[in-house]
Amino acid sequence: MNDEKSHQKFSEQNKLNFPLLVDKQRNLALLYGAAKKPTVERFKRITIIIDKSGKIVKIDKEVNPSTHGSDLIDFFKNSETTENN
Amino acid sequence: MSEIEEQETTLLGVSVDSVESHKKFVDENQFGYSLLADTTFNVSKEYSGIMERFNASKRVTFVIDKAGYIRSIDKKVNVKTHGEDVVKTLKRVLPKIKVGEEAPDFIAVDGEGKKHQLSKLRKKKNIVLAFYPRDFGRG
Repeated sequence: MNDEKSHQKFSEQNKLNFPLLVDKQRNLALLYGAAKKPTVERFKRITIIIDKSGKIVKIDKEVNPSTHGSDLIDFFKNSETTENN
Repeated sequence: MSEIEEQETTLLGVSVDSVESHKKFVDENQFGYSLLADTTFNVSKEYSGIMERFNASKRVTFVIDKAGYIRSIDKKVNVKTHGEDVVKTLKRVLPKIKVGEEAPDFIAVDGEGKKHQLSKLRKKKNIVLAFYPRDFGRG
C-alpha cells in the first residue's frame, strides 16, 4: 500500500533485515484477506505464517503491534517443541 | 447470490460481437454478468486465440484470482455443463486462506525494487507474511 520510497526510508531508519513488499495494487492484500476492495486506504493488520512446505500454519487477525516480535518467536519455539515430540 | 458470486467471483464474457448484439443478449436472457465487446480482437488474441474459420474468439475459460494470477485454463468447454463446471473449477483452484491449506504463490517487489517470489523463498525458510496499515504513524 505504501510506495517504494516510504518503505525504503522506514526500513533504513529501523534497520530492518527483512524485505518490505510494495502492494500498491492491493493484489496480495486482496488475495490474503487484508483488504476487501482494491480501493481500501489501509490494510487490516493480519499476519500469516507459512511453513517450508508452503502450508499456512497460522493466521493471526488480532496482532498486537507492541508484542508482535516476541509473539512470533514464541510461536516458532512452541511449534519446534511440538515437532520434536 | 449466484454460486459463482458465492465464490467471491465475477464472470466476464468476451466475444468479438458488437456492443449492440451483446446488449440484446443480456436483455433478452436477463444475463447477470458483463459481456465485453472485443471488437478490436485484442483480448481474444492475447487470451483465447482466434478461430480462423469463423473469425471469432475460441471458446476458452480462464480463472483469474484476486492477485491477478491465472489459476485455470479450460480449452474444452462443454457448453451444456459450463455453469456447473465453472463452479466446480472455482472451488478446486481458487486459493483458500485457511490453516492447513497451501499459501497461494505471488511475486512482489520490495522498496529497492528487488523481486520476491513466495514459492522460491519458502523452500529455504518459514515465512511470516505481515500485512500492516502504514509505514509511519500509528495506523
